[in-house]
Parts: sequence; structure tokens; C-alpha cells
Amino acid sequence: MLNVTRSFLDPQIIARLAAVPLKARHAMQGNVSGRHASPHRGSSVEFAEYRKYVPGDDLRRLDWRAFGRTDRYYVKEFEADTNLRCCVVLDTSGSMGYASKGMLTKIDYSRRIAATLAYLAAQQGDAVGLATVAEKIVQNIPAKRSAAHLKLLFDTLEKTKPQGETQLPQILDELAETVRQRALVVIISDFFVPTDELKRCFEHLRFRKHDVAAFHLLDPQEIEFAFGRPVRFVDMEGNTSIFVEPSEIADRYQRALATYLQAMQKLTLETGVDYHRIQTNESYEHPLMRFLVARTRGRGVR
Amino acid sequence: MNFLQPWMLLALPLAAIPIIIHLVNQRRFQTVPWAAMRFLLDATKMSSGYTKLRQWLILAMRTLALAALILFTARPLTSGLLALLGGDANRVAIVLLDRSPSMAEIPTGALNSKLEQGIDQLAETFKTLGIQRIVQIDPLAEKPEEFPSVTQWLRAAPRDAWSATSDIPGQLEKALLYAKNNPSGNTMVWLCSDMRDSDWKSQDGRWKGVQDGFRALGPSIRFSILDLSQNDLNPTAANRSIRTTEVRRVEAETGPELALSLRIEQAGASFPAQGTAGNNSGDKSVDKTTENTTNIPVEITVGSNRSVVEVPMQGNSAQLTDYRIPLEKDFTSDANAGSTKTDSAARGFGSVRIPSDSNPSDDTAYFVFEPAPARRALLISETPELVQAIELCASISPEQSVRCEAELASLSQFESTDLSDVALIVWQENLPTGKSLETLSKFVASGGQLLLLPPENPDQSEAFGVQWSSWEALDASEAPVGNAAAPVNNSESTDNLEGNAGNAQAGSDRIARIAQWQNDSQLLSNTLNGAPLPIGQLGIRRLCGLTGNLEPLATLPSGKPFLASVTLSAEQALPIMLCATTPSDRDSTLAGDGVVLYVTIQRLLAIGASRVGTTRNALAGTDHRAVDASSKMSLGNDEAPSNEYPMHAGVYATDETLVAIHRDETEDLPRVVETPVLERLFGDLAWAKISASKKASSLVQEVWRWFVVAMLMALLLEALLCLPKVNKKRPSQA
Repeated sequence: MLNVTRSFLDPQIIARLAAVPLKARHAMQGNVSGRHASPHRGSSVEFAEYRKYVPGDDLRRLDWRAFGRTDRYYVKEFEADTNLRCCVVLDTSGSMGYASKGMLTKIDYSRRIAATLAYLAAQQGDAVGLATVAEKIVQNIPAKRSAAHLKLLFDTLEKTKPQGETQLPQILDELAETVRQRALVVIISDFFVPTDELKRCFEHLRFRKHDVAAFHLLDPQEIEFAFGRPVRFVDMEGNTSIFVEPSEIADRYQRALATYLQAMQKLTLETGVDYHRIQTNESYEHPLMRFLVARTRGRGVR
Repeated sequence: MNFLQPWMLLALPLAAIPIIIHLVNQRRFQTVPWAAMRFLLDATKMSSGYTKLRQWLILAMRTLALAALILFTARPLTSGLLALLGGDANRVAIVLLDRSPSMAEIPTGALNSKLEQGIDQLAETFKTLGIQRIVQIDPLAEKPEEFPSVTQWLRAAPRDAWSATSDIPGQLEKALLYAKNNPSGNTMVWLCSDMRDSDWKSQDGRWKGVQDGFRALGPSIRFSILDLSQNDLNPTAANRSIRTTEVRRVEAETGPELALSLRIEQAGASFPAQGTAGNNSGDKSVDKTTENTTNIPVEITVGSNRSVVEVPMQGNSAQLTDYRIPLEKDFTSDANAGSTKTDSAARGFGSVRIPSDSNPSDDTAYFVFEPAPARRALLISETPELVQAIELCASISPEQSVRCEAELASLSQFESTDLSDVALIVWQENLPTGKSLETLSKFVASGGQLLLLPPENPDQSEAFGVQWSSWEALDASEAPVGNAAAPVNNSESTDNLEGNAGNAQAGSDRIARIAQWQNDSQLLSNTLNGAPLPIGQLGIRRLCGLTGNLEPLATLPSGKPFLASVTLSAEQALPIMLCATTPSDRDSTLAGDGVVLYVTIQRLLAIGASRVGTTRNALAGTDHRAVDASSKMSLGNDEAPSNEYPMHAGVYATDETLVAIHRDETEDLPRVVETPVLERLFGDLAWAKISASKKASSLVQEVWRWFVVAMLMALLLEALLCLPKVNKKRPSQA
């Protein structure tokens, strides 16, 4: 089906993750029958409800047994299952190129998550799309179900380079409008943007009835801030630099980071975003497993 | 702050290592591409108060720890005032001890005298400093004594004060001589004194020589003055001192009596009120406090008889005048009574004592007495009429109990005359030469008085460093101008010229008047009632010129000496007097205005009579001929070594003489030498005054422990500040 010699794909991890299906938390609106709940009634085996017959209904769907018992006309309805459209939004701004010593860059790490998720979704018949974003939408590949499309996605991921500033809030707004309703939107980014803008974007996506999942990537060094001697920090998304005595500023840095992370936690709870904070020293299998398992716990709401 | 190993302080810049590392570290920054820049920017906007303070504190603690380590290795000393002290153990310490009576004072709450405390503190200081070579200047010894160790010096250091006033400039001269003869790399001169001006003699001319001498030796000699005067040693010490002012044996109708006059002075704080007690036992405290006066019990000991008399103290002084003590008719307390019974049967000695106080050295005064000896004058002159007036003055006694005799002799008879009982020789001849000069020199050296008058025809002979020139009649410049003459004190002078407008002879006779005279000299001093001698009324018609090393006592307006003295040597008790004219009417009005002549002759006789009698009074430390090591102590400090007898008050018996050694009167003056005076005395020499401390046994103490503690504290604080901060709100990983 596909060439798995990509550097960001690990067959063993995929094999282990494939045991858990990728499910949507909300009703999806696909084109074909699938394994995800649809907002519409359909012809599945799962009974939904009885409804009074109204003229114009298909007579074949009348429940004659109910007529026999009650002498009234009822139409028997069943749940409809459909496929989902998974839109992976990959932040390719300059900050995603950061990696502390011995760690993967955040863009490499996000490649692995994106590719694995795309593979798993495609394998279960879902449509997968990819949007690489930085200052603007660098490349937008609409969701499709074909194997050749998956190859296109992987090729795109392979070629992606971290550069440019982040304009994630604006781009998410744009994607919220352009992506068809009721899709699974997976955002992989370091989210170094103002949280109030981010909150507005997430609310926009939720308004469009998308199932939003956010993978928040952080390098361990960005959390620990363990520098010994003075450092001149150069912004990876611009030319600004700042000279810092780490021992003097570490406390305040930690406070600023903690405040930001608390705000992220809060806004994702408020907006119903499936939020996963990941340190890049962790194997990507674990957060993905947590992500998939968490979604198997409940049937999607229609 | 001073150090025993000051060269270690060269390493003190190493204390800046943490700062240097900090600065170097600042320059060795690394450049890191950074994604989470917004948090850094947020962090820089936050207040950095404590963090920055903590960083500076850590830096300061590290610097402090290093500095403390270096200072600790330099062996710091508590010094404060020991600014000149260094840590060279090879330093020579020259010790000058002030052994004046005031140094015997025992401060309040202390067990030892100031002198003992000063010696102990010096010893501890020397031990602390590691000084091994100590040189002590002994005023009595010809050569300074060297000690190879502090222990030996401490063993030999004198513990008792003298009754003599110290001679600090004299001791410094000896120290200078030693320093010249024994050049050393570093010499520290230690003066242990209570800073009394009487001991320091701040007006003494020798100070300049001392200062110049030490300056010539270079900066290697430094002075440390251990000040025992005003410090916590003696905040409220009070002291009374007693001295006899006059002691005479008089013949009363009931028999011989001792007429005793004494004076008590009080210095310092008030004495606590004491209860009344006691009687004539004399051993108990018997102060009686009344509303205005306090009675001081004075124990009078004459021979083996002891009595107590209470002297009322008014203000800070008390006086007992002409207190009569009956003597037994065959009284004698003479130590040599067995051998000279006939001569000395009527002489004796004794003491007066007040209750002990803070300074025991001035609580006792001694006296000797004997019947007043005959005052015999010998007049040598070939022209008796010239000295006839002097003969008359010398033969009329001022007191009934004093016998005065005058004998006129020619020069040829002089050689055969017995001078043993002569008090005064009036020499109106050409200056003596040969054997006569030798005889007169011995006479003067033995305490006899010599008055030289000009001969009728002066030759060119010279004696005692002086020479008569020629007679000269007074010219017009010596004519009277009507201004009154006046006495002067020492350096004070007036421009008063001769003459007295009220003198009947003025106008018809050319008479010169005395323009200036020293009324503080013993000879021309004021009378007992304070009035000056009428020297200004004397008229001089003819004057014989005088050349030589003279000290004028009275001069004419032209500066020519009328009366002068010659001091042959420092040991000479009394100077030789020279009068530049004769009492004859042809030469002066000395005979006509006889008051001055009579008083002067009687004073000379009284002074000279002291050699005739068998008792003498001397000031401690001033007359080394009066008492020597062979003398026998009759009363006094039993622990005093015999070679120090002249320095200790007491009564000493020589072969034929009883000598009472008295404490110098200036010792009762509590005036101290202040720092500005010291600055003048020492000039630009390196010196420091150190106040003695009661709390510390040594003037300096090693305080390295403080620095070890400081270092440990700094390291501990630095460790605490460097501890990572416990952050409970650390961002979680997921």
C-alpha cells in the first residue's frame, strides 16, 4: 500500500498503535460509510429510534410489527456510520526547528506524529489532509482517502522545513472556515502565540463543529532552562537577540512559562480541545497511544 | 588592624577572584538559537530584586570568604591604636619605664600598680608579637640592659616605682645612644608612662636633640607610648599626698621640741565618706567627716615614738604649721648614735604618714632634724674695708637660735684655714689658682657657698670658667632716667632702665640701677611675705667686667651683669655666685641699702650651712652624692636595692650625715602631656599612643579566630544562597 521507508515512520510503533482505532469524539460528516458516528440516520445495524410515519417516507422502512401491536404507523430508524476527514495542521515556523542537545527538533517530532496519525487514519479508511503553516499556509493538502494521497502527504512532510514566524491564530481561523464542517483537526505546534488569540481560534474551530486535538511540543530545555554561563539567545523566528545571565533570570523564566502553560491548560479545557503536552525527549508512541486510547472510551456524540 | 605576617596581605587581591571569574564569565557567553523567546522577554520585564540581590550576595560571600582566609593567614592582631606596629619578630624593643611615684598608683578595682600593669601588658604584647630581643633603659645604669627573651625581661623588670621624677628625655637620649651604637633593622621604642608632664619635661631643651637624633637614624625606629593616664584603668581614682614643708628642732622653755609643718594635697575624685573611729593608735582609719571639713589622721613617727594628729582638710588641701612635738632631752634616733654620740645626740629623723589610698608612694614623707648649725662665713680679702659690710651681715644672726660667725682672712691665711665648718666663702681677690683653686673647688663640690667679688686690681687669671676684666666707672648711658626697675621671671624681660627718681642721691652722683633680676632664683627670690627684694633701689657706681659662661641673675640696663652664677657641672649642688662690684661706698650702695646685701648673705649662709650640719634634705633622683649604695637605710622602702637609694624617699645614714630623701613636689601636679604636646615632642617621627586596657592582658591579641569564623559563616551563607530554589509549581511534563 505504501512505502514505509520514511525516516519519520516506525513500523513497529505503527503496528502497536494500529490495534487502537482512531475515533472521533464528535459526529463526523464523511462521504462514505465508515466507522465513525454520523449526525444523520442511516442504515446501519444500530437501532436509533421509532418515528411516526409522515407522508412521503419510504414505505419500506415502516415497522409492520409495531403497526400490528399498536395499529399505528412507525418508521424504524438506525444510526448512520461514516468516515472522518482528518486535517493535520503542522506548525512549520522557525521555532519548530529548536532542539536541545541530543533531542529531536520539534519539527522532526511533529513529522512523526503527523505521519503516524495519517497512516492510522488512512488505514481505517478515513480521509487525511495536511496543512503546513507558518506565516501563512505553506501547503494545504485536502483530505482524501487514497493510498497515493498518503504518499503525497509523506512527501510533503519530508520536505517541510522550519522557517518563518508563527501566525497560527490567523491561519487557524482561515482553516476553520475552509475545512468542511465536522472534521478532526489535529494541530501540532509549540503554540508560542498569545493564549487569548489561541482561545479565540479554538472556539472558532469548535463553532465549526470540528473535533480539535492539539499536540503541544516542548523541548526539555525550554522547560528546564538549564544554562550555566551567560547566553545570548537569538530568536529563531526573527533577528532579535537578548543577553541573559541564566542564573539571574531562570526563576522569572520559569514563572512566565508556568503562567503560560496554566493558561494553555485552562483554555483547552474551556474550548474542549483534546490537549496533549509533549516533551520531545519522550517517545512519540506514548502520547499517541494516550491520544488514541482516550478516544475509544466513548461513542461519538451525534 | 595589624598583622604578624603582613606580607601575606600581598595576597589580598586574590579575594577579587570571584569577581574576576564573574566578569570573565560574562565575556564568555554562548550564543543559542532560542524558540521560547517570549518567555525570556516576559522574564526580563519582571522584577529582578531578590534574584539580583542573591547573586550579589553570593559574590560578596565568596569574596568575603577569600578575604577572611587571607587575613587569617596574615595573623591579625587587635590593635586599634597600634598603627605603627608591624609583625617583624626580629624587631628590637627598647623599653623605657616611667618609675615616677605616680606610677605606683593602684587603680580602682585593680590589684597591681600602673607600673606593674604596664610591664605585664608590655610582656604579653612582646610575647604576642614574638619579640625576642628586649633592651631596657635604666636611668641609673650606665649601659642599657639587654634581655634575650621576654621571660627574662619580665623576671628582671622593676616592679616598684621610685620617689624620683622620671626623666623621659634623658632616657630617650640613652635610647638614642644605644640605637646609634647598635643599629638594627627595626627598632621599636616602648614608653610606659602615665604621661605626667613632670616626667616628660615637655619644655626641656633636650627634646629637640632627641628628635633630631632619632630622625637621623631613619624611619626604622618607631615609638609606642603606653598611656596609663586616662583610660579605663583608673576612672575614679582619688589620691592624697603628704609632704613636710619645714622641720626644725627648737629649744623651748620646757625642753627641745620638734616644730613640724606639713601639707596634704588631694587629687582626683572625692574620697568616700568614712566613719569616725580610731584614737592615737594610728593604725586605724580615723577620718572624721564634718559638714565642711574632713579630718585626716596623720601618723607622726619620731624615732620610736608615734603619735597621731588629725589635720582638717579644706577643699583639696590641708596644712599643719609649726606643730610642736616634745623631744626628750637626751633624745636621739640616730642610727649612728653609738659612734657620734656627742655630735648627733640632738639630731633625729622620722616620718609622717596618712592612711593608704590609691597611690601608696606619696602617703609617707620623711624628715631629719638637728639643732641649727652655726653659720660661719670666711672672707678672703687683702682690703678688709671693702668687705666690712659683708662681714657685718654675716655675723648678725636672723634668729636667736642660729649662731652666725664671720672671719676675715688674707689670701695667705686661706690655705691654713679649716673649711669643714665654713658655710660661705667670700672671695674678694684675684681668681684663685693652683692649690687655692683646688681647695675652693672641693669646698664648692661639698655644698659650700662661694661668692666671688672683684679684686681691686684684676689680673688675667681665670677660674671656674670666668675671668675678671677691668673696673669701669659708669658712663652717661648708665645715668638714671627715672624709670622704676622691676624683677623678671626667667625669660620675661622688661626694658626698664636704671635709676629711681625718688633716690636722694640721683642727680648729683652717677649711679646705675639694676634693670632686671631673676626673682625666681633662690638668691633673689621674694621674701616670705611675698614682697620683692628692693634690688631696684641699689645703686652701682663702679662695675668690674665679667667674661665667661655666666648666667646673669641681675643686670644693668646695658646688659652688664651685676650678679651672676656659674654652674660647673650638672652634679654641682649649688652654683658659684659672682658679684661684679663691692659693698664699698665707692663702688655701690650695697652697704648703704643693706637689706639686699644682708638677705643675700644670709641666704647664702643658710644654703651653705647644710654642708656643715650632719643632716641633709635632698630630692629623690637629684642629688646622687647625698646617698649612695653604701648608705644605710633608716626609714623607707625596705625592698629598695641599695643602688636605688637615691631614687627612693626615706632616711639614709652615711658615716656622719643623716639624709632625708623627698619626693619631688612636681609629682603632686597631675598635669599630663596631651597629644598635641606629644606631636610637638616627636615631630615627624613615627609614633603612636596606646591607651592601656584593663580588660586585655596584652595590648595586642591575635584575632585569627574571628576570621576563621567569618570565613565559615561566609561559606555557609554562600552555600545557602546557592541552594536550588524549591519550585512547587514546576511545569508538568504533560
